[in-house]
Amino acid sequence: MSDQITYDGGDEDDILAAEYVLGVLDAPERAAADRRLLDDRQFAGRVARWQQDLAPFDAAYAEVTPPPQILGAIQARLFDRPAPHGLFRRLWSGVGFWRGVAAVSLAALALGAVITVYSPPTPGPSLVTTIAANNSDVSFVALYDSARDQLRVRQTSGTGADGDKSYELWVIPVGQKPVSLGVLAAETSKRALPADLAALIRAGATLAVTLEPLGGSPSGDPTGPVLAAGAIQAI
Amino acid sequence: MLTAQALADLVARTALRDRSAFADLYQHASAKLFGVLLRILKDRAEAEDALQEVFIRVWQKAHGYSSDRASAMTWMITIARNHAIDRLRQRREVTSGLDAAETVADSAPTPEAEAIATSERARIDTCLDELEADKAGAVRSAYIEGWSYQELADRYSVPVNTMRTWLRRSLLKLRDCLSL
Repeated sequence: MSDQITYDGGDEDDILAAEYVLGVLDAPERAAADRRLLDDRQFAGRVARWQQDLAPFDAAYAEVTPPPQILGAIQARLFDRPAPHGLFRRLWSGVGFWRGVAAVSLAALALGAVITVYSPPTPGPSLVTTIAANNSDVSFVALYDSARDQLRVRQTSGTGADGDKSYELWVIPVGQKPVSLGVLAAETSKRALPADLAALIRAGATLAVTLEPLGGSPSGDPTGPVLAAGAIQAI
Repeated sequence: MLTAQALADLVARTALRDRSAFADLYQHASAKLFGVLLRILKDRAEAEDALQEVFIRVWQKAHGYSSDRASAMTWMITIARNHAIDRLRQRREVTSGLDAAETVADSAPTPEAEAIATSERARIDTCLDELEADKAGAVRSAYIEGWSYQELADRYSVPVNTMRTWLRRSLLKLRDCLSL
């Protein structure tokens, strides 16, 4: 008698998903499942369902306060990095429309880390950011003319939102909740901001784009995944 | 303790590169995640190192979190468990964990965690009750302790292939019960 059991394809995948969530697989099997999660949506769905079903076990984990220095170590690893200029140049040269806006300081978000790049500033009334993210192919460039309270946003890569979805633009003042700047309906948009919103467009704040139901978030707060984000910097 | 919604808001703001929200998120979630890592890794120094990695992943992956799929705490615990289990599986000596297991005391979950999990847990408990006691125990321990098939087999004194068959049959039964 063999110990092997055979299942139909769905069962086999479902068992593998459960074994992955439980954690009983060995290192090569886990690595294979991790790779599969990247491009097999059905398998990812099975894993997500098991995670949800087994999550009640999490109540068994007692809280243990970690030593106080750990947060500082995490922040140092995330935020105290030198700027890689090469990546900046590539991003920038891909954005022909904005090439006229020379010599800016600009922050981009790529590869999951904040990359701040500085070039000598020239006098001017504007603020700029690229809004980009690692695991979506959607990116934007935003330019704010503070003399006219006018915000221009241009999509620089990726497609428009699917028929039943909208891209929504947000500004996040430091330490505050996101505030909607409206839905991005076209590849290029230009909008005059009322004074209360214009006051939020400041260096250090973040611009972000989320995927929302058609017409924008019904609640007034972001509900969908963040597609792209970038910090605002003065030119 | 923050509400689930407040915690989800902190993750959303972290996704938007809000560093103060990230620090708040750490204050509210680090003890639970450290508990997860200690329980699975059973080594304090390694758990501290793993906690750094987990929060770096939280920062990096926050934009992929969607509150309609899982609570923010469940999402973060999943990251912590996955990281801890990856570390465990890369250790050469899997058996050394057996002795160390006793060094980390089993402490009771907080009342808040109990309250949140009660309704969901009733469902999984009902389904686990349909399995034989040792098989239900194997499923639970595999999840909570991060045991491999080999460690489960050692604990239950059965050959590893037998354990594999047990667990897979148990998971199929569990799935059928949970999806009713």
